Amino acid sequence: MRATDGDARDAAGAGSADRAPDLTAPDGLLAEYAPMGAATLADAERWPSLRASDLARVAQARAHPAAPVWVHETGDRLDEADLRALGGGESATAGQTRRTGTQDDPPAWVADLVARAHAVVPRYRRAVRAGTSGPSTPLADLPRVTRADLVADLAAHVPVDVPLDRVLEGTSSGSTGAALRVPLHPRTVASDLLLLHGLVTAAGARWGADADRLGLLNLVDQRTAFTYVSAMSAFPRPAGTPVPLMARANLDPSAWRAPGDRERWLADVDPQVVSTSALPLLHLLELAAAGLDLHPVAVVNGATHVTPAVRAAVRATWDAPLVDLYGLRETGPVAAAPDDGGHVVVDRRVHVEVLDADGVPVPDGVRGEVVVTVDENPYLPLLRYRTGDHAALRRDARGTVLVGLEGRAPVRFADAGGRWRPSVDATQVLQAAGLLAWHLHQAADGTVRLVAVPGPAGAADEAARAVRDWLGRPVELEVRDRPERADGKPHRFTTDLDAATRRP
Amino acid sequence: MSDVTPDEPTGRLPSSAVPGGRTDGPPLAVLLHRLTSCPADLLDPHVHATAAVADLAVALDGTVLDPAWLRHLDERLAAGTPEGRDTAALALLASWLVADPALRGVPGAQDAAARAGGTGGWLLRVVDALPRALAGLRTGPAWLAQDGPREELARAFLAVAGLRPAGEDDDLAADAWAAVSTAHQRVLTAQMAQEQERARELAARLAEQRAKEAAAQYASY
Repeated sequence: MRATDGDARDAAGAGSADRAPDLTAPDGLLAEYAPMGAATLADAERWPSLRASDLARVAQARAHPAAPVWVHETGDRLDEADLRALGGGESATAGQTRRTGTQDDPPAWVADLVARAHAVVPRYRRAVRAGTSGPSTPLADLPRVTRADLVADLAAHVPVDVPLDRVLEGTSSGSTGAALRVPLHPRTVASDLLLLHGLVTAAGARWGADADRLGLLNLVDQRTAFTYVSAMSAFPRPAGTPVPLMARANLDPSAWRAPGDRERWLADVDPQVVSTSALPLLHLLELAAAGLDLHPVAVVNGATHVTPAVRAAVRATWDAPLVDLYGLRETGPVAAAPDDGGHVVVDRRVHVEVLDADGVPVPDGVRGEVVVTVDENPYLPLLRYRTGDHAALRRDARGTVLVGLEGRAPVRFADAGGRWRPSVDATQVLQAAGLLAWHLHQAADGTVRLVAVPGPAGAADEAARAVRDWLGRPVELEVRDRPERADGKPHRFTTDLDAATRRP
Repeated sequence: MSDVTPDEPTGRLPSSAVPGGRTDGPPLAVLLHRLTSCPADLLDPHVHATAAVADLAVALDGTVLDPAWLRHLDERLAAGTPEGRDTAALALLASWLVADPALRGVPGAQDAAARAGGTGGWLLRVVDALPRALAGLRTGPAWLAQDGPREELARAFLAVAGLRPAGEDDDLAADAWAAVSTAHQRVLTAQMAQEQERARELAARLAEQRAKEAAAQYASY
């Protein structure tokens, strides 16, 4: 499973007494996530294109009397040139991608990317020097790229001809456990918003600028998370319309100042679109069942799998569509499922192959590993990137469809006090302790076993202590010197407990 | 006639100065032997390169250089600057190779000369192209002092003359060129230096607070 966006650094804040608050203290494992510890810019730098009146709306939203403790401040960094480029489709590459190609016959931009990579991407320049591939090598003859490749030598995958002055840091926890820093461009991040807008609209929702509501809520539910208010400069709207706002918020009770604030704030800002992952969504549905009155026009799920039952619950609760978005931090969005009929590859520069364990393409309809070629983030074009997720390909009137996409089931652990704890919490402390890889398993009787591949000396013991404190349970520790498997996607979290139950 | 700008230092096999695809020339050893036997006074700074080229053109097939060609060569091969002396040396070495009957007797070379409009025209194209292909790499005598530079010179000569070494195809000739080319090694060195610098800059940029503040995220991954 891939945990939610940026969970490694997605942390911080307002720890409560039962939650090891020392983790975010100056010398704690998660110290870099202390409130506002990562905020550095002025608001005018965060939203260079916005007027003072729009910036004032951001400040006002931050100051909502029931607002959570904001742990971070961040914007979209978009200037006027970015907005023109995004509006003109320069980044989204609209119109070039509808011809989706086949595994044997990728779309034309793929050959261009292969040629360009061999000129400007160090990994492929080295291949030219070594004589192993070249600008006209067919995609299918290129080696697959693994997450471990990016962790080991990220710069080898970043083109040398793109100015680095706008690099933003994205992070992802990933399959080996080692955190990966992903260099992101502001336009790449903003194009996610335009994609969501298009997907939500295509699903039948009307999502227009509404100054009285929060335009988008990015919702998490974990011990520590970056939370913030932002303005969506790139949101499509008539000229002169106030900029729609968004917020990232955490359902965890420790993220709020007073009991009841969470429900008051959510009801008051009444988000138009909720973008989240499976466990926070289940939690939000529970709050709705308990009387929280929300009116989202659509829900976007990411990072983890949703079941048809959850989709039906969203429809029944809010009469809203659920779009399940599949992508990785490294690749950006890959495919989206507006219904239970599979994930349609998005209309961007994304080419999907499904390969067997030896890297050989399987026929349509046969399951294999999803391998992605993508040219959307100028800082990280990828050729044949192994996702570790599995599906079968189908081609129909909707385009290329990933059927039966699997590999992203959310895992929860039961603590000694009878509460579910999402695995993303464990990712934070295990990465902070310095583990290179791990497997955390909870048996049906609740006992916990950690298999750890430590980085620095003492990391494994420190990680075991952190898990013990997190769950309030003894932890059996086994130390290894390498992950269970060198590539592919090992399971980092498993449980014998019944995942379907909401309460342990 | 082309201008005096040196070729872009791509490190790739120099372009042919002769129309049509390359044909099989003599074995590389023929050219290496010819270079080894080059008289030292050919590269004497007092040799008037333009006159030597013009005399050879006449001797080869009666080609008489017109005034425009003579002015062009005089400008390029003037011995008043180090660059002019290096250019003149390469023009004289190209002439020395073209003057070798063992080269001109090979059918592929005769074909290349025909494609260039005759042996004299072939000479002029090579004299014009070879110094550009090898500009800025060595002084004249240094091309003859060691095996490596001699092979680099011989391979560059064949490439601009529209020929391949006997026994090699275009791919093999390109690979062999990469192995001996000073320009290619410089490109590789520059590439690797650029990659190291970029890795350093990427790490520094990602470590900056501006990058760490990141940007608002709309979707969960």
